[in-house]
Amino acid sequence: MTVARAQAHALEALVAAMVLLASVTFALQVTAVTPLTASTSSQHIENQQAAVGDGVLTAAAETGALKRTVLFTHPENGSFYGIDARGYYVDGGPPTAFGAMLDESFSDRGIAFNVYLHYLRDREARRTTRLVYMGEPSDHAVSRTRLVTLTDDDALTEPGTSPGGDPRAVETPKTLESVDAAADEEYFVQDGNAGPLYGVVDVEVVVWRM
Amino acid sequence: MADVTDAFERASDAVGEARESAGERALGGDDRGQLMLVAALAIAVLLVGLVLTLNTAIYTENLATRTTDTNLDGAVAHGGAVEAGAGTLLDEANREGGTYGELADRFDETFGNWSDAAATLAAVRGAATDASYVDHVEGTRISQTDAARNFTDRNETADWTLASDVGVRGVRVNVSRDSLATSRGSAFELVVDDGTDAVETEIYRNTTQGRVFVAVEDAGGTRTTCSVAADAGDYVTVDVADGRLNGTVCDPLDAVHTDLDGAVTVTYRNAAEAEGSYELYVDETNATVFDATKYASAGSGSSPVAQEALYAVTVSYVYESGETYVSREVRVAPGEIA
Repeated sequence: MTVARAQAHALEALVAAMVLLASVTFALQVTAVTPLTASTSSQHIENQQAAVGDGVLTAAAETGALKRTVLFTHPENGSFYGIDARGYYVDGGPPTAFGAMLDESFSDRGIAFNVYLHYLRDREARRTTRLVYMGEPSDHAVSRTRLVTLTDDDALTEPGTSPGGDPRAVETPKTLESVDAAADEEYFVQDGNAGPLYGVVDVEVVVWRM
Repeated sequence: MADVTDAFERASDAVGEARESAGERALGGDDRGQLMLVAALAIAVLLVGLVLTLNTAIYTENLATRTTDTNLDGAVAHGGAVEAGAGTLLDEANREGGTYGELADRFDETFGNWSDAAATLAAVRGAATDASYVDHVEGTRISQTDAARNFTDRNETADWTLASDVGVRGVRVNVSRDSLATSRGSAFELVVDDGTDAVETEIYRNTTQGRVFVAVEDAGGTRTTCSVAADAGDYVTVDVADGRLNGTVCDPLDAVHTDLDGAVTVTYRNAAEAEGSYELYVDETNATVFDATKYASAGSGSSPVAQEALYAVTVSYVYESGETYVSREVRVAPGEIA
């Protein structure tokens, strides 16, 4: 009797150990498999959002709306039009054609986005300015970028309306060269080159589901 | 554990009076409960194993349906940025003037700076990029910067041909609203003719509404218009190749791309009915295009000016990221017609 019971105990202990190990392994597996399990996101949605981000940037670059938004600043202090002391837009895109494209593509569908402007200071130090900041992106955020070339003759833009009545950025007579030369005027990027090139700005759109 | 086993023992004692012998007791009811427990645990382990296997299958399915083709989005976007950047810098370099050699050197240097800046910014995203100037096509820039002068040639001829049998690009007009004719019949007209088909663009204004109209007659003779409101400023810009009127899309202008083929002749009619500035590029050298009866030379202070300019440039670029290597040469001629 005593012998038979000891064997059963040993077997039971072994199986219990296996259950414990299996549970740990299973738990680890569960955390690794976020797509298609009980998660708010999936890889396919991320791919889709990245593609939409690419499309918005390409379309905006093609029509010039992207560049006009990058130049949408007050000449006096280099900050964007229509923002409060925070220095960036928080509840949607800027009141420009590019901003309208962002709103229609993302925030109207419950998708949050940040837009950052990366540029170089003294031709090597990378600096970043926030254009739109809706908060800290989540882990499944995707990001897409587009380079915008600024020349000395590019003019700052200001708020205006399109023939259809929508807000958009319209050009002013103030070129980047003149703003750079004037003592009481500034732009957030400085002229880093002797030639007609003023600077290169990398526009980054970060998108994630809320 | 021991307490439970004892309870089982007492229970089986009460029920199974017949199995009282010591031998039967060792294999019987006393240990069965424990074996059942062990069996239950074994089944639990099996189930856990099954779940793991199924889970792996789901994950594999997910992996299999992800896009596995090489991701070229970054390379394509960079190619677009190279073309746009080179196009902008090309016209900027041209506007500063000089000989073909000086223009090519200026573009080379400026584009080199652009490439350095772009490479530094792209490095953050894990991409190595480089772009450089390869070659150029010599051309001529025809322009007028005096915004108060009308569009006539140097001798003030109102109907004149700017260039014949040439490739044309970057036709941009910035015209004063008040100088325009008030009816279409006498309006300033820009005619682009490829020998068989012609596209005529007329610019005029409406006195009562104050709107500025751009009427485009395509090769088939159909006339379509677009217009700008009266309060949109004293000057109106028309970008013919880009199809834009004051920065807004003007679809009728697309006719210059769809209806024309090959080399074209550019002509102004009723040029006294428009004042402002304009520029366009043609793909013949300045020696061929320049005609002292029509044009003034650069730096003379008179208008219009025909001067040396780069019509097109060829640039090469390389884009390399973890999984892709793209090396291309592209010809850049922003706003080319036909």
